[in-house]
Amino acid sequence: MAKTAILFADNDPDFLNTRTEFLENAGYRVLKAYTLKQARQLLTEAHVHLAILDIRMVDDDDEKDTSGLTLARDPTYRSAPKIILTNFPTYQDVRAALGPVVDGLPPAVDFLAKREGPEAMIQAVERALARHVRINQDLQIHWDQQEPLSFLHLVNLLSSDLSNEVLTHWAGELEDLVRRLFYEYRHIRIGRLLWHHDRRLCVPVLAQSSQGATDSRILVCGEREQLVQESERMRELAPETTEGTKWVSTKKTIHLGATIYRLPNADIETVQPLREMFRRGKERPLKTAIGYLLKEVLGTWHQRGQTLEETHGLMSLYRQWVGLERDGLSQTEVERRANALIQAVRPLSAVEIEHSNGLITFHFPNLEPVTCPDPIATLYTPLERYGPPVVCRLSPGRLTADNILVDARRQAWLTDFACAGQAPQWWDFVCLEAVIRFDLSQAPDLMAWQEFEECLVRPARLFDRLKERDVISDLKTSVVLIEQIRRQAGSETGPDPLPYYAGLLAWTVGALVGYNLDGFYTQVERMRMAHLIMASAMLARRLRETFPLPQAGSTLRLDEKGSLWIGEHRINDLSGQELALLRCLYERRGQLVGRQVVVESVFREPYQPGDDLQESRINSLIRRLRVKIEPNPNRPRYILTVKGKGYRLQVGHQSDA
Amino acid sequence: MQAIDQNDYSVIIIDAGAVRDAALLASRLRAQRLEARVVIATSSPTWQRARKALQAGAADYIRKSLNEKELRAKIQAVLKVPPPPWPR
Repeated sequence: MAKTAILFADNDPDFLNTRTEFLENAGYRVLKAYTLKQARQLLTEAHVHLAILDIRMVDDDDEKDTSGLTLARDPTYRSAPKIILTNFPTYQDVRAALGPVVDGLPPAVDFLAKREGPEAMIQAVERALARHVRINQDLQIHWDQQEPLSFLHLVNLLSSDLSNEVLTHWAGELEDLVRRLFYEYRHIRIGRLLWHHDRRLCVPVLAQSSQGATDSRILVCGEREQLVQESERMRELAPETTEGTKWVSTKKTIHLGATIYRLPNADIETVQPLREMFRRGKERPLKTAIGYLLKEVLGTWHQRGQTLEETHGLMSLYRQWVGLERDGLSQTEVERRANALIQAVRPLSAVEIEHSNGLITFHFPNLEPVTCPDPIATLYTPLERYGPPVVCRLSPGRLTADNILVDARRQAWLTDFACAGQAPQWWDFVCLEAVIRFDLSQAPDLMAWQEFEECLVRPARLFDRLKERDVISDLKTSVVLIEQIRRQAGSETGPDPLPYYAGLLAWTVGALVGYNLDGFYTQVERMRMAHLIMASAMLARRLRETFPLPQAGSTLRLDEKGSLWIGEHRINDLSGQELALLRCLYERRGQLVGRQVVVESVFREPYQPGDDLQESRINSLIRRLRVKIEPNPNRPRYILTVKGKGYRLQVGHQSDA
Repeated sequence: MQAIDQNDYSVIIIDAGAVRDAALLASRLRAQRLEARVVIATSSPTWQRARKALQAGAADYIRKSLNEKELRAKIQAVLKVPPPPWPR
């Protein structure tokens, strides 16, 4: 444990040096600042337990110079207690220094006249430290023996862009925080890292009091403001049940904050993230844990009542939840990033991904290609049927494979409340399914993922059984767990799967956009990206099959301005060539239109029988148009193929049967 | 003290000249865990007494000679800030 560090700021060098000697003789480490700028810099960069500030830091003869007091009142440095020291004490300065208390501390905790002497100063320092810097100097800190960490390592995870010197100071601050949070204890053992993201991290702590009693705690630490907001949010929103994660205490320094939580009835030594439990692959314990999480943990959050979001529609809310509505992140930028990722994963295995004209096509060897609409465009198309208003429920925030903890008794706890708040009622289920579907499941190739995704996007109701026999054995457990999640989602939100699929689409696009385009990725990571691209495209196709495209019975027409209508829906995302093809077919609706007519009127070039390139262009154009207008492009109801001859446009409804 | 026991107040103003030790009284009131903010008013303010009063838990230390408008402003300022934590 390092010595207590005191920042001492005074513009009188003789006085500062003399008094520093007294403090050093009393056992303190003194950081001297002769100017206001130095004082500010040390408060910003160094690890300071207590600050002693002169009032007149600029000009001793200027009555109006209260620069030291101004620094003491700066909210940035509020969490470090301060003592004001002056040659010119007035009761007005005392009032300004010692009150009011904001955020637990007044601007200064004591006020001294320089003429009161060094002994009074040392006593004031001791008082301030005892009362406001309650650090457990006797706490024995032990680290996990198999995966030992250190405060330096933890701080580096929180903020990897710090210089070595600042990193050392922050590590000292973090150690102080831990010694303050575990003030009543004698020993603590800090376990292995459970998760770290967004400049926060989480570790389990086993604490032993001087009487020998042990307590299990979870420590979450990170940058100060973020941590403080998270803890306030959690305390305000978390359901008051006997089960579930409980807030114990939050402490902060100038830069960092830390919170300890209690996990009632948890066996902290066997607690592990959901990811590790999944790795062991045993279906029954996983089902029990997911069941507990759904009913006993998430259920209690959801039961705290529902609200109606009146302003934003469902897609807009989902985009907010996955971080796509941040400043400066436009739809064009999201499209740019998604396109770049598609390019990056292209040379992957035997599957070719083709992305053009607003369509994504997956070419599998020896199989029909799978063509889907652009997932980004779909994500930015409002689902008007689903609000506003949108039914929202209280969500604990972001669920990941690492921030959900499970113990040997299959009880589950949450540990990350940074995003807790009202979310569309499907959101927690969507996140949990996405964790299993995209983070935890493993498949050898894209073919296996395609079968898996087909199985998951097929159901017409959330309660429907998933056909796990269609997927490879490695993915069967995932299918069983996803079915369990959807059953609970269906019982809370109703059977309609479309708003649920829309949430999954948002989650996948959010995950894709989260990738750093300049990053270096392994084959496994690129396979995950390809899986996300495929899933997002198939979800988009599933949504476009039903919405906003027409229901059975709709007729197709081109109006006098040349716009395409299907039922009451105007289709306005057709390219020039697609519209030309449609016009060609529409003018001959109900009749057989040969390939020659298509080539000559759409491509405006002579028809060359047997020209593979021309054939392929016709096929591709027909497929693109079908994806945009057909409820199910694989079973067309408007553009029918007349085998070996050409196409026929059927403008009225033709039964699926 | 009788009046304090019988009623709830948002602010209690103590005339430092009317009691033997205004800071001690302020700390006793804080120890009783009253919600009221305690303001000490004095005709002869000094920095030492101001320090003692504020460290004892007084929300403010003011001159008695304030006019009504100034006093109203001080009380409003005191009411805006939550009371300091009760002593442990």
